[in-house]
Amino acid sequence: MVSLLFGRFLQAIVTLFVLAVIVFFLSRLSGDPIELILPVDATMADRQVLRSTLGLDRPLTEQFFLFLKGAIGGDFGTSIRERKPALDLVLSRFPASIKLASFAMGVAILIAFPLAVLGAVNKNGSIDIIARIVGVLGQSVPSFWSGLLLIIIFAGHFKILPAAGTGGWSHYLLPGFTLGWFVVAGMMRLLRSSLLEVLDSEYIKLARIKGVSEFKVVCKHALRNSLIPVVTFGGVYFAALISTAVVVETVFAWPGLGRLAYDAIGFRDFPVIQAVVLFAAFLVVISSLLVDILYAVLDPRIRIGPKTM
Amino acid sequence: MKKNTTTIILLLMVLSLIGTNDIVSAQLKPAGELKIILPNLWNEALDPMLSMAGGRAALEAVYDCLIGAKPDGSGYSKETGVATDWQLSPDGKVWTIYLRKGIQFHRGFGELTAEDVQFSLERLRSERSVATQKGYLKRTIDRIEVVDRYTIKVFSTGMAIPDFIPIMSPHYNSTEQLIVSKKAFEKLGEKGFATNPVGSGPYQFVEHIGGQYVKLEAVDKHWRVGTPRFKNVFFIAVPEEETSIAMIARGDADIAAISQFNVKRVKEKGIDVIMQKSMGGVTVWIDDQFVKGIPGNNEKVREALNLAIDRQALVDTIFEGKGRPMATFFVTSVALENMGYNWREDLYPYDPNRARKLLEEAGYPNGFDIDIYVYPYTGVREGPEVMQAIAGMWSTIGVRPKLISVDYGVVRAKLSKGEIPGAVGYFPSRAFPWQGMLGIYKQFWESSGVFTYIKSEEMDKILDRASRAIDPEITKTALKEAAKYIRKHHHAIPLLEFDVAYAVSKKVKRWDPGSLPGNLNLDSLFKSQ
Repeated sequence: MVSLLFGRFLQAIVTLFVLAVIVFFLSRLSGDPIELILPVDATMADRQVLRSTLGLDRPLTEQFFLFLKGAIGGDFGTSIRERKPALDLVLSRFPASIKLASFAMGVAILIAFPLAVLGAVNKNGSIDIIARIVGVLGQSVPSFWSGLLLIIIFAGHFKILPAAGTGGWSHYLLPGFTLGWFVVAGMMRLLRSSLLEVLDSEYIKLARIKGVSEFKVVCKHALRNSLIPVVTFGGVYFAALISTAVVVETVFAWPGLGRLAYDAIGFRDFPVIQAVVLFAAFLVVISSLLVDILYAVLDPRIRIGPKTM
Repeated sequence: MKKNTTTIILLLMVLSLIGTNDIVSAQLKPAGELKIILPNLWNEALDPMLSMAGGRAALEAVYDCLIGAKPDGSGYSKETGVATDWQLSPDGKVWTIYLRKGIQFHRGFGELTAEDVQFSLERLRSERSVATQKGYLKRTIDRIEVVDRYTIKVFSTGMAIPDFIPIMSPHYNSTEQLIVSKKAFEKLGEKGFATNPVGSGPYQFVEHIGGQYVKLEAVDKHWRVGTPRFKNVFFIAVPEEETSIAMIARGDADIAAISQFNVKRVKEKGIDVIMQKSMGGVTVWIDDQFVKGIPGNNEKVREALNLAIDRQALVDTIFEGKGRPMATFFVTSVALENMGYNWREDLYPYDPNRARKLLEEAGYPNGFDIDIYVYPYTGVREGPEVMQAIAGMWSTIGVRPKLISVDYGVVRAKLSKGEIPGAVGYFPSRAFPWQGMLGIYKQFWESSGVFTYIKSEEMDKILDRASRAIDPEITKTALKEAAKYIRKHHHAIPLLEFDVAYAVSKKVKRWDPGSLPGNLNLDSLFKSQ
């Protein structure tokens, strides 16, 4: 366990460093924030004054090392746009994103699990076909389209759900469903395939011969052993959902990390772009590690470390 | 019996008077909420020193402006600003500004005095400031002196500064004009003030949720508005237009700007729409026309490009008829009329035949290739559509447009470096006062300008005359000459101006948004009815 954690820690450091280099230099290729801040009638002297105020007049390599030095200490610089610490902005938006991602995951599990089980048990039956259609639609329909459609129908036409912002539980329904529907497809197909494989195993046949009820066979014996790929998918995807729900957060005016990243990119707010990307990477790294640990809980045969199997 | 009747009548009169007073008191108390949707809260800063141009809308309720302006954009107002009067010295280098007495800051931070104005202006020039006019203020202002409790003097660094006053008024869509409390800043500190701002406007700050909304609460009584109508005002950030329309339909918001092509559909839903006249426009630029050998260097080519555009068709189709063709560079009709300029004389006819003939005379009988930069621009949602439409119109006269879809920031950078000679793109025209034309014209038409399109000694002399003049009439005359020069030599391709549409709830259907750029004339909403 200790060697695994240490190995993962080293991997994370290298990953984050490489990502820092990429995001630092790539974001600066996108343009000059000064041109977006100042009006068209600003003079060259005005530009120089603002560039100096924002620290953008220093050589790029110096800016990078200053950024790296700060980042190690948890200081990702000051937002060009909001003039606040970039990490503070990221952390202030994080709760909204995690709430939405959790709700979306909940929606995905509530839809995907029953559909996958029913689909696997009734392979090629009508439920299986419906489940697969739902899955394909979830993956192929763009979220901005499905989101807008839901807004037009439920908020604009029937007026029964709010279109935007945070608040009570009703505010989660439309964006949560939009975000979760995409995850439904992948989760459902993974679980269905895994279930089909497990349902074909010898111990399942034995259980049936012994007279165990079908419900227990599927839900107690087969399902648990089918969860491993789903846990991997779900765990990593959950971390990604937190920081990449850009489209859904923009359509529903949800004040999360995705929208923060979107606004930061549009504004060329380099410190915030860097902070969001590195924070998101950190979340993915942590979630991968947690998923690995969860394996041992789900399957006692899996041991962490070189003595496995 | 008669005595009892009289007593009863008197009693009823007294009771009715009490009831009436209660009703009047109840009406004069702020009540309800007003929710205004903005595409974003710009840079989410509530401190004018840290805010930037686009963040003005939310701040105009919290702060008062130094120089007032008439909501119809026709000029300044001595009734609606902190200043009651202002005078320029004969040499144009010193402004004396007289302040209104009795303006109170929020939360008991006392009266607004000359010290607060001095403090506010000095902060804008400070190291941490990112105010859009910081450079101008640092360059042109030497010091600001407090003469007495209600008088300040602004001294220039040596040049005439007639344009100081326009910058300090709502005519400029920026935050330099907003006055903050020096006492509040000293007590709360910079960080404290940034998260808990103190102004003297009709609404005081309550709460700011990043990326979501700013919540304000009415003061008891405001010197300009009286008792504000609404108890709370929210400025809500909603990037997506369809979402904001649904919010208005559901009653979750009261005001949202919408695109022209959505006006009809919104009205069919039973939602009221209010138009803000001449709020913006589209002007197409041709970059670096002074470069020899490019089509844009030829006056006949530029004239042809102008003649080949059916401006009225653009207004009728893309803007649903809510606008008008224009042919004067960068400024809307309201500002031009206020300076006595006959913009209608500049209008081009739609004449593609003549355009083709001009191209032949210019040596381009088979047309030429042209790069057209297409990008979304805040405040002109229809911009990309307009550019695509004129690309189609130009292709009918033999020009071969190549549409390049990029981000606006990329184009600005290319323009300032002179990397795209002969290419075209667009800027939104502005509804600022004619005094604001000078800064814009210097950047685009003076040989040393950051984005200059031409190198002309004649234009340099005109703009120099405009810059140096102390008498505003001389500046005005010079700017008219500059506009005529551009039109005469077809140096620009101004297209049209449009009215901005707002979907509104029944609560505010009598709202007059005025004609000031970036300003919603919120006073007309805040005043009790």
